[in-house]
Amino acid sequence: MTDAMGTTSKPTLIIRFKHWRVRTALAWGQLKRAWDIFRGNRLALIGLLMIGMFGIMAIAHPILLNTVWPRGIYDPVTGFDMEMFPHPTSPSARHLLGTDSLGRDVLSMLLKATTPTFALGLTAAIATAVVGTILGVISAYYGGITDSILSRVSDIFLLFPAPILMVVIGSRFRDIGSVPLGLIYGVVAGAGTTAVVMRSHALKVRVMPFIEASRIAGGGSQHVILKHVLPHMLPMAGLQMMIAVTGAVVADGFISFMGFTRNTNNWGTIMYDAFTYAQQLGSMDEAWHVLIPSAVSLSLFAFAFYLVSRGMYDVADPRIAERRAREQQNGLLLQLRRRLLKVARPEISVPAFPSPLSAKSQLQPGRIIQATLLFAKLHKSSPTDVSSQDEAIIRSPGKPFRDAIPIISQYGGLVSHINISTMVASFGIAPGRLPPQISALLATHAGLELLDYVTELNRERSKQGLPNLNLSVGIATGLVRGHEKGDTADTSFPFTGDVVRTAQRLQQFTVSLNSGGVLISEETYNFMKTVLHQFSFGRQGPVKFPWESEPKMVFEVVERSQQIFEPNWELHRLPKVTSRKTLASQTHWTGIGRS
Amino acid sequence: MIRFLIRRTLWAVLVIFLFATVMFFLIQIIIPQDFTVQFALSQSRAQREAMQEELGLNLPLWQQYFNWISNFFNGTFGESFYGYPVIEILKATIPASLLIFLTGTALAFVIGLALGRFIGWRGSGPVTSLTTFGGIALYTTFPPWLAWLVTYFIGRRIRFFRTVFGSRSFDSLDFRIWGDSPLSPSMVSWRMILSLIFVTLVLVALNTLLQRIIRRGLPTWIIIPLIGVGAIGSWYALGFNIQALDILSRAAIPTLTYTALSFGETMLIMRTSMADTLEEEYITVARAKGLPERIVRNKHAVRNAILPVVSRLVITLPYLMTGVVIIEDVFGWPGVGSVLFDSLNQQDMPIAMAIMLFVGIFSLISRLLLDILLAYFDPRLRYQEPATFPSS
Repeated sequence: MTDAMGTTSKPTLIIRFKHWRVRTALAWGQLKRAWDIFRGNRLALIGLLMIGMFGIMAIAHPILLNTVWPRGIYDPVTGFDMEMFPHPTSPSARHLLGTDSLGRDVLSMLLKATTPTFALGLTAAIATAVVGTILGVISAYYGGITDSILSRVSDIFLLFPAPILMVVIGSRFRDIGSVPLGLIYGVVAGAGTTAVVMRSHALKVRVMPFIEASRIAGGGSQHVILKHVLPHMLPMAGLQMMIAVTGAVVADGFISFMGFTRNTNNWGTIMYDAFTYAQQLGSMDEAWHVLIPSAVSLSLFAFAFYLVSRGMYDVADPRIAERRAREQQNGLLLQLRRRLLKVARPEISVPAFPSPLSAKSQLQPGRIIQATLLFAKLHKSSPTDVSSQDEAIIRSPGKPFRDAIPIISQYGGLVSHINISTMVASFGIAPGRLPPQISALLATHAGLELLDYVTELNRERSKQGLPNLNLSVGIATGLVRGHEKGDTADTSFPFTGDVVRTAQRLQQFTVSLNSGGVLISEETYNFMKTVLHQFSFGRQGPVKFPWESEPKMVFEVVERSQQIFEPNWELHRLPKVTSRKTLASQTHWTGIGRS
Repeated sequence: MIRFLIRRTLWAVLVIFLFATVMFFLIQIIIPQDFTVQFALSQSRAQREAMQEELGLNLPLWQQYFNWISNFFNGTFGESFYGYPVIEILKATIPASLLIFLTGTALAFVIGLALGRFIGWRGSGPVTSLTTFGGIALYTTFPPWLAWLVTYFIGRRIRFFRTVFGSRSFDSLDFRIWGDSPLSPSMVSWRMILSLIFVTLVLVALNTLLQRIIRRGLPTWIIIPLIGVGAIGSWYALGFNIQALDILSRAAIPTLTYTALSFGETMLIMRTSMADTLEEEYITVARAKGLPERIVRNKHAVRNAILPVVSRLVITLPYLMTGVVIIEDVFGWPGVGSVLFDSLNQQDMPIAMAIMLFVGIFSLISRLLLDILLAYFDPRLRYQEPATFPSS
């Protein structure tokens, strides 16, 4: 028996140890990720800095009072400076913020008031988070009658504005401390607004797949709530805590400002003193150095916590995190370059999409999604001369397809393969998934713009005595599958499917058209049913593909009646471009896009 | 839709009743209605008991509660400890509060929407950061401090504005205007509110008609001055223009302060909502259709982005009311806020409770209206539980 116990207890010990390590590592990773998102919000960082300053203020007071400041003069309650007369005095070297009408040092009072304000804010924040989270999570998790009862309770508490209730309480218990006051604010605000917000957040968490998984694995309600739901509520609870601090501090200041004076030393009390004195004198001229520091401190304290709450909001909302990550991916240098370009070369408008070559594809191995593929090929003009692709002729001058990448990226496509004479682009996979209706439309527009680009390229080439180039484009829409290990298909693309072959075949057909052009498949045509008026079509007819059972229609797209985006490419890599203006006046597309 | 309306209304009536009950007992716990406490030192026992009996404070608690709630349903709200009928006090002060609250909230909403739309569309950058910074700074400023700043920097510079600092009543009104006038300030305030609402409704209806006919409405920055001109014109037409302008000159500064305090939140929610909307596919579709950016922004993005803002406003309303109450007290504007704090100072609980009840009922009714409005705009909401709004 003991032997068996010994053998069983040993591995459990090891597992527990690992379990703890894994949990810590996970929590640490989560914290780090949260901090990364938080750090992205500059305003929140400013808020954090300001809170740090207030913390220093709170610590500084007892230190100063015990070292530099003699207690008789600088004590925030009983201090009085005999050498100054009459009080209040304006700021001087001796009293950095002057003295108030009772001869007390304003700076000392200001610093002294920081600690109770922190205590109040902290109590209110914790109470709000605890009450709100408990009510919200229970109501969202159990649903049914529990939910309706708790929701009604929140509905009633929503009608009690917490600040007014605090004033009522303050008017009765005039010497109530910061902590109980914060507690009351926290409970009332927590049972009202916070509970409602937390409930709707918990409703979103409850339907997440891992909750279901945990329940199927045999987790009881208590386990699921504590271990799985609560951790996902933490950022939102943090956000509500910060907002509660703002509200509680303003309400507390207001009670003191109203003259429901409490024994606590408080920024509101200092303001009350300033206003009282100003009323006696008839103007604020003598009391401004009492009013401004306290009022500004109180406002900044609330401000700082609200700013931090904005950062917490980013952490709590995963969509914002994604957006931030995408912005960061673009990189600071790239952004700077774009800014500079915007100023220096306003004619190149910045593409709306991130650069396709750096964007991460959303197509996972083995997953199937609808997408549109575009195959494009540059070749020499004679249709009979297809076989002889003289790369040197295409290449000179410059690398035409590399200069055409902005067109694809502007239309939301991803260039997956490129060399001197061929380009393959996918639409609707990355940088963002798009429905096939849109990816088909965008791809067709991109194909036509590529044609415009080649037309202009030829214009410039003919000036230099070079032979014309032709462009053939094939576009097909359908299902593609991400490459998996073991796939024997052509691995030069990250995906496979009949669509790849269809698009390639369509591009080959296009070569036999007189001077290149754009051919689209039947599916692409069907997906664009609602926007067909944007294009005019040329030849069409059925084609039998070897991998399709029935013949399919193909359509030639000739031109479009409108452009979605302004053209943002230019032939800046070509040598001897005389001037942008003369070039633009010669080309036909400027009339449409740049009017 | 009708079932939805009936359900929400019944629920609102029940909540008001529960709210009144909870508040009564809560106030009993916090502040027992021992009005005589402050005179206890100078009074004999018999005098104290006589006074308690006169006010009905010696009755058992349930009977006091019954009296109070029946007074509430009578619509009289009982009598204050100093002998005034509470309903008269409410009648005199509510219009003044509503004038500031309705105008200020509408202005704050419009300004917040416009700014939020602007920075949400613009995306991150220095202008957006500065606007957000400024909005939050105004939103979190200590209200009395902001009130003082506005008075000091705007109120004193422009001659039209007059402040009522400290007087706490309409006593500061010009006697030459009001001396022989048959109208009381609260009546004029009511008429001002009604004419403002009427002019707004007429202009909105005209704008809708215009949109139906020529498919283009007037921009907001034209409609708002038009509402102002129309309202002032109607005051002239109805013949109380002198009195109304006198009240306006005093209400302007509190309204301005309240607007500055409360537009920040609307702006922030609108900004986030706008940024979320721009990620949606229908925006890409709208662009892909080749629509001009202005149309994409105003017709596709803004209309969908407004919904979360309105639903957020539903739960912020009581806090907005609190803002008005505080602002009123700071400026001494003779609305419910000043009266609430005065009655708290004098421990005159019937008035304080009636005003808190008014704040609750008013925010509940506004919530009901907003809920119905939301359900009208967003049909998905009609079949769901109430209080479904995005967290923010």
